[in-house]
Amino acid sequence: MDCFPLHILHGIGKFTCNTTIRRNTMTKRFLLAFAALFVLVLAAACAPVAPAAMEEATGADSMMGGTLRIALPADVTSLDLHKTSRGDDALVVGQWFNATLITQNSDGEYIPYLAESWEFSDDGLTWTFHLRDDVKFHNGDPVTAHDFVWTYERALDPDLASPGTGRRLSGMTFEAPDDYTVVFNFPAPAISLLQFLNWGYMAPMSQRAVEELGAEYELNPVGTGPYKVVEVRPGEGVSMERWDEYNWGPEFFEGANTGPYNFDRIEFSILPEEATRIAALEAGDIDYVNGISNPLDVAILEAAGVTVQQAPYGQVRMVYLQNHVPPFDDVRVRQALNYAVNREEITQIVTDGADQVSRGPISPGMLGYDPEIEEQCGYHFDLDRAKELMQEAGYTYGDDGMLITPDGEPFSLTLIGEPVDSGTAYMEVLQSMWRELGLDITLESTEPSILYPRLTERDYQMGYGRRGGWTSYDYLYAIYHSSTGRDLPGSMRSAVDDPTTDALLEKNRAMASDNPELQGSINELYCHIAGQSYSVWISDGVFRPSIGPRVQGTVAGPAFAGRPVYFSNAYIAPEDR
Amino acid sequence: MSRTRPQAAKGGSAASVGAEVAGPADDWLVVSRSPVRRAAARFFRDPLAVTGLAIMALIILITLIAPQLYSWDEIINVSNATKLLPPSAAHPFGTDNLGRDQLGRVLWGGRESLRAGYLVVLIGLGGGTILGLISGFAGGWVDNLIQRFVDVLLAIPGILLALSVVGALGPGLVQVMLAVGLANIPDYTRLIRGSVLEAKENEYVRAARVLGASNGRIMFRHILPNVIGPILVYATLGLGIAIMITAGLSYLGLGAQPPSPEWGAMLNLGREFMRHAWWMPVFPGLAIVIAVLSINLVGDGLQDAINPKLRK
Repeated sequence: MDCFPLHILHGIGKFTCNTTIRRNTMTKRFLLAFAALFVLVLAAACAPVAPAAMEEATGADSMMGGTLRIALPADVTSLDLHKTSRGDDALVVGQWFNATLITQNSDGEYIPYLAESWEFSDDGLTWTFHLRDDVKFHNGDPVTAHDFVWTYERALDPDLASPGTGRRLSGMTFEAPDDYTVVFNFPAPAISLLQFLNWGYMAPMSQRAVEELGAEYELNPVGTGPYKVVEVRPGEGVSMERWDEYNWGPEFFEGANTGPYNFDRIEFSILPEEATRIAALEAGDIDYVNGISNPLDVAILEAAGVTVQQAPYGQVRMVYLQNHVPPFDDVRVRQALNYAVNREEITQIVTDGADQVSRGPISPGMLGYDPEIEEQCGYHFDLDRAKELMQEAGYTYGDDGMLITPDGEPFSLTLIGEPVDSGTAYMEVLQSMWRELGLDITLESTEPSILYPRLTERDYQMGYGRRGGWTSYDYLYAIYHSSTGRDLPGSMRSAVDDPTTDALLEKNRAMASDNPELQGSINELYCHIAGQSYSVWISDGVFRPSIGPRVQGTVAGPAFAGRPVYFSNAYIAPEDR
Repeated sequence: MSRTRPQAAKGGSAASVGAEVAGPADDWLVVSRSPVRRAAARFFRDPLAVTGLAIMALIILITLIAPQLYSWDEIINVSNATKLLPPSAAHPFGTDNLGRDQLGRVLWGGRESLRAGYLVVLIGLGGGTILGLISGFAGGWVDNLIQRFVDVLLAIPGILLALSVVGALGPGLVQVMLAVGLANIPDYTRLIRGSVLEAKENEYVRAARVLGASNGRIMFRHILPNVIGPILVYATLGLGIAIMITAGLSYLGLGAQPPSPEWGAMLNLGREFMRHAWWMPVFPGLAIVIAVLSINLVGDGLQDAINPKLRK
């Protein structure tokens, strides 16, 4: 009776083997390795300065050298341009190892990159690009118009199911009349898509490399940018090496270096925690972080000599609504949600006012933004108006101040979103603000691996998201045009199907950027979409790319070019290497 | 038939108290109470165990009256004016990054954390007890089947099981409780089965069988009361672990969803602000430490009380 056997711990301590002999050889090996290491350290310490470094320190090449260390928040999904469209990957694929047809300079103007010049047909349906004839892939093959055509046709291959490039190219055809001319044919005028060509995922791929390497291509990608990929370590990072033949760099700014970059290597490492990235940046273990979300960290980093760039980058923070299903099929409910958000308060609470308030579909960091039209057609916090709208829509208020649906049920909704970049804080504040309206919100802020499939399958009512990377008014087409489809899979969409909206979006797309009527047309679109309240627009997120003190000579990119920092002239001083 | 159990239980130590207090009216209850009383007496002589119990009782009491002290609106309402205030008389635990009072959140969070802990243990204990009893008592192919099932459960790392449950059902505290509870079942099953294998060889079990008791009766009336002691100790210790695992999963963002003030979730939030507002991670962290420590003290005390032989 007094026996209480605890069987849980059985099986511990079964270590019976003849370890003695093995241990002796192990010890010897260890000693040997230790001795070798010691000798190496001694040699390194005694050698005065490596002769190579001495040579570089003198003359024009003194800026060449060193390794730029970049921290990424997540592993690169793929280095095959057609297998990912994630914003974090774009930093790796777009800026460093690929080159695009055109790009944008520090004033935001379109400038030649791989294309020397380009023209549009009068109807806007045909674009012709004239390529440079001296561009080479990292494997030494020349880049011709056929490579571009092959690349884009590959992206359109339904078997490949390219998530980003393919979807954006859909309906287009491509031709190569000669080796250095590429022609794009659009099904409808879409001049505003020009910015899309500055997107890293639109870079050419080497047909030979893709076909020879097959599945291995993702680990040995071949590009045309200033750095070539030398090693891909899944889950750990990517190493790149300077490509000395690169001499087709664009004139990002006056005096920009168009030849090979200065850093010998780029090392991308993965640090998922923002706190870790900040600590590493502060300690000087890394040199560049693509974004800092917590405003309180800015002072800490600046004290450590880190340059923190702060500007709106068209990173719209918004709540996507499934417009075609109740309760969001009623415009009054959608408008009430917009009226009930106190945007000044929310940006103040979450970002100390660093994020800029956005009252409507086009935010301050975006091409096409007009402050006057935002004042006129955008949403200003008005809780009473919001409550009126809910009542007009047939909702009533219970004794506890909470809304009751026309069917007599308590009105509750679920808001899902990604916890990254203050997302959870934004969602919590929204929840609190909508509670004032009488709306009971349940939050789900979760892992991307769980979240994304649900977004793709549209298994949500309201989704909080931060849309970045495509920072022109034309992003509206991607989420509000009926062709983006109610039935198509895809992450945040709005399931809008409205002929007036379609017509306005198409009209804007067909206008060239120098068309004097463009701004008026954008404003008309702004007021229409704001009035329809297809989404809840909150703010324009500050992006804060941060550069460590070792790196000098960087130049800030323009707000909406998708390239926050130009590194073409950047270098690490020899004493800091 | 019911007399068989007391006979087995009688051979206790001389430290018996209270057996003589009860009258002869309810024979079974009287004699069976004595080892419990002996254990209770030992437990209450252990100052550490009593301290643990007192702290635990206090925590439970505080979490029960939390809604009277702070309304749910106060727990979730954000305000820029009170953002990141250090501890003061108005906000003894300071305020968080969205201007919410941390004391109120820690108190409310205790409700969630403790409830999660208890439910996890209940799932593990309930499932494990039934499976272990059947497995140990029935033997043969039934035992084999249950043990192989347990082997399968044991072979799946707890965190993986939790992730799959969350993946299938979406993130949330209930899902996490279910997952962690399920992951606990094998431990309890093994523990109970081992005890049952020993207990079923005892004379009182044979006596019950000879007297024609049904299998169910023997299992639940005769064997279970005799094997439950160490299980309860294990469950008490498991409660602390369950609170920590639940907090851990919430810390990873898989458990309690914002704005829930579950301690792990609060700690997760506080981590981001550790360098600017030490009070954000410290207070929920302290709450977890104190709660788990008190539970462990109670568990240790129980173990010593039930089985004084284990005492050094």
